[in-house]
Amino acid sequence: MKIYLYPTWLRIWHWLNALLFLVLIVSGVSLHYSDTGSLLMPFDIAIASHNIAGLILTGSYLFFVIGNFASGNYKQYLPQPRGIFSRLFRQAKYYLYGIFKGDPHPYEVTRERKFNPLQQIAYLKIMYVLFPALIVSGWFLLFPETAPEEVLGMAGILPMATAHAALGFFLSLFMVGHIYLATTGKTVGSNFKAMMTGWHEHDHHEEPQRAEPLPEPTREPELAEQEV
Amino acid sequence: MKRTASLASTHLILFLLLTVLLANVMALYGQTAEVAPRSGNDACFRCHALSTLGIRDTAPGGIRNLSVAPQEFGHSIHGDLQCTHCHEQGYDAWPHAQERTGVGALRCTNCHQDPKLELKELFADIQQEFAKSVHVQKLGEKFSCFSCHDPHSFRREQEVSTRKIESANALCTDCHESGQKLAAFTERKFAPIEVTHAWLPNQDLHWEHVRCVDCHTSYEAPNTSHNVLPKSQAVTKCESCHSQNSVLLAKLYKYEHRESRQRMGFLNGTLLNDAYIIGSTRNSVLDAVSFALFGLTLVGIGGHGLLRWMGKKKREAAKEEDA
Ligand code: HEC
Ligand code: HEC
Ligand code: HEC
Ligand code: HEC
Ligand code: HEC
Ligand code: HEC
Ligand code: HEC
Repeated sequence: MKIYLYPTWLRIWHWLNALLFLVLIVSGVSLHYSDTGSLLMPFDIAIASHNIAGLILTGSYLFFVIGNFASGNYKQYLPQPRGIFSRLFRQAKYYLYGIFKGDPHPYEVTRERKFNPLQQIAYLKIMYVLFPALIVSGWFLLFPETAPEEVLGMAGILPMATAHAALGFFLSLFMVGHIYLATTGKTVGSNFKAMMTGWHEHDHHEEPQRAEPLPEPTREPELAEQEV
Repeated sequence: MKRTASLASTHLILFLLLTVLLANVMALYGQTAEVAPRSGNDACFRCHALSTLGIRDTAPGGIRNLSVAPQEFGHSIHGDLQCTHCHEQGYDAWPHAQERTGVGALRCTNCHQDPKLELKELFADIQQEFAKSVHVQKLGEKFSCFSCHDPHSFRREQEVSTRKIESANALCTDCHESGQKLAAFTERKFAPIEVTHAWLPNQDLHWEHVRCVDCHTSYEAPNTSHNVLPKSQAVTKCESCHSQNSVLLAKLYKYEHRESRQRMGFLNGTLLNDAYIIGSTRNSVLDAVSFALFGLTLVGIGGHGLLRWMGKKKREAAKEEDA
């Protein structure tokens, strides 16, 4: 079965974001280890590409936020508080156990719910807390005189730079995990294809016995699901 | 007060013969008329603009320079003030009255912390660091803000430039390289700076690119570069500046970007700056944790993938058997 899950604007953003992340990781690592000489790229090129990619990333992030609210996509990120823990547990159990036995995904992807509970929680934190924090700390480094004069007795720019490095590292780590989990689709490659074409493919299975009722869909689907 | 008294008792010799002075006064009148008139101050500059105006003083070395350069004063941060704003009492006429505001009693903070004047800058942080500095600790009252800053030419520059560094260093070397000035404060003899800093290679280059205060003052907040530490606590390690860990440049650094923006144009300067603090924020603990997390992630992914693959093989085998 196939459903149209990822509108064009989202896919463009996603791949642009991926490309920028790669540039930022490579240049960022070179900057972090600047004293080792040209580790991955020469220092001046690393600075320029990091700054420019960071600038574009800021724009693309704003685009993402606006697109999200304009399209209602943001609702996908908001977990239903009721029964959240048992749902998280169920998803975690699947990843740590069921997946090896070939069990079906506990939360089938639908247009109203493209993220499983774990994804919701993780993406919410990442896209609306850590990502903006990374961007803001990056801008402070670009205009260091605007950073707080002093934080805990240190020159304000140091904690800013440390936070930036730590956040950048954490989000890179997230990216690695994200890419791996993307291989857990119907086939190893199907999720990657979905992000290119917008059409998500998955086995339609009988609804499994549910541990608890699922939250009500938050809105009516606009496009009918297409059985293929 | 003490100074006024000592002045009175000083046998005072005018360096210029009165006749010469008068001749100069006439000449100056002609000159200042062409320059935009700074009404009140012109009266003082009539005499005090003379670069040779000085008096014999009890201080060792002997001569107190009393000249104030009009150009420099005009460009200084106090250039819009009347002389009599600071030198309040007793200077309206010459000879100056015996009862006058002694110059020794003036302090930057007299005015800058005077609630009546409502000035923006209070210098509380600077004052506090200054009070802790080795100079004040050892020399006490004798050492004031004016030991370094000339109230008539003081101006601030925030953009890092070799000129700024040069003028900042001149504040220290004017005294530390002058036996006479030092002698006014202490018996202690200093070897020349080049000798006491012989361990530092490329001295000329360093004096051009780094301020005395970058090595000699505390880095603790508020970090205003006014707490001159005892020499044993000065920065000696090359790595403090050269290398990733240039915490040092937190002093100079803040303005560095701004300068590159001006030098190269806003966009270029912002994006292609050669910020040095980069790489300086590396923290070995954080790095170790990062490596460990990265390793764990890879191992986790590898293991997970392997189990998935094995599960799949098993299921395929089972299917075949079923069939
Ligand atoms: C006719 C020349 C002349 C004029 C005009 C003049 N001064 Fe002076 N000033 C002197 C001389 C000479 C001395 C040194 C003798 C003394 O201290 O009385 C001096 C000393 C001073 C001192 C140092 C006093 C101290 O206690 O160490 C100050 C401050 C000063 N003048 C300020 C002014 C101001 C402000 C004006 C303008 C309102 C002014 N002077 C106008 C000639 C002049
Ligand atoms: C912002 C306040 C301020 C202004 C304005 C100011 N002065 Fe002064 N002046 C001082 C202070 C403070 C000292 C004492 C410096 C010291 O202790 O070394 C001083 C010292 C002096 C001295 C004695 C120098 C010495 O070495 O003892 C003279 C002469 C003098 N001022 C003249 C002038 C004249 C002339 C003007 C106007 C053009 C003027 N001042 C404007 C603050 C001021
Ligand atoms: C006699 C009073 C007086 C003394 C002494 C004095 N100042 Fe000032 N200062 C002023 C006044 C008044 C202004 C405001 C000038 C203006 O707004 O044009 C000012 C302005 C300044 C400013 C500019 C701040 C601003 O708000 O624009 C700085 C910096 C400054 N002073 C530094 C110093 C330093 C450093 C000293 C000691 C070396 C000093 N001042 C001594 C009266 C004084
Ligand atoms: C031992 C010498 C010394 C003494 C004493 C001193 N300063 Fe400074 N001050 C400096 C130096 C060096 C700088 C840095 C100049 C630069 O980098 O351009 C400076 C800079 C400043 C600045 C400009 C700071 C900025 O960031 O723009 C102010 C204001 C100032 N001093 C006020 C004071 C006051 C007020 C006092 C007395 C409480 C004082 N200073 C005593 C050496 C001194
Ligand atoms: C690269 C760092 C650095 C710079 C820049 C620097 N110093 Fe030093 N300075 C030191 C160290 C370290 C010592 C202590 C040396 C020792 O104990 O033998 C010292 C010692 C001194 C001493 C004490 C010397 C003595 O005879 O006991 C003076 C005075 C001094 N410096 C003044 C200055 C002045 C003025 C400047 C600016 C022109 C300056 N320093 C620039 C690091 C520096
Ligand atoms: C007006 C003169 C004067 C100025 C200006 C001055 N100093 Fe000093 N400095 C002294 C005197 C005098 C001593 C000796 C104090 C003592 O040990 O009695 C001293 C001592 C020192 C020492 C040695 C401290 C120790 O542990 O023995 C250092 C370092 C120093 N000064 C650095 C600086 C720096 C940096 C500047 C400029 C920001 C500066 N000084 C400006 C007069 C001055
Ligand atoms: C207070 C900070 C500081 C300290 C401490 C310091 N340096 Fe420097 N050094 C600089 C700066 C700034 C430059 C100029 C860099 C530039 O513009 O290329 C420089 C330049 C140099 C250069 C010339 C490099 C070139 O590009 O030609 C050498 C060599 C050098 N330092 C060696 C040392 C050694 C060895 C030590 C320790 C004994 C030391 N420095 C300590 C700040 C420092």
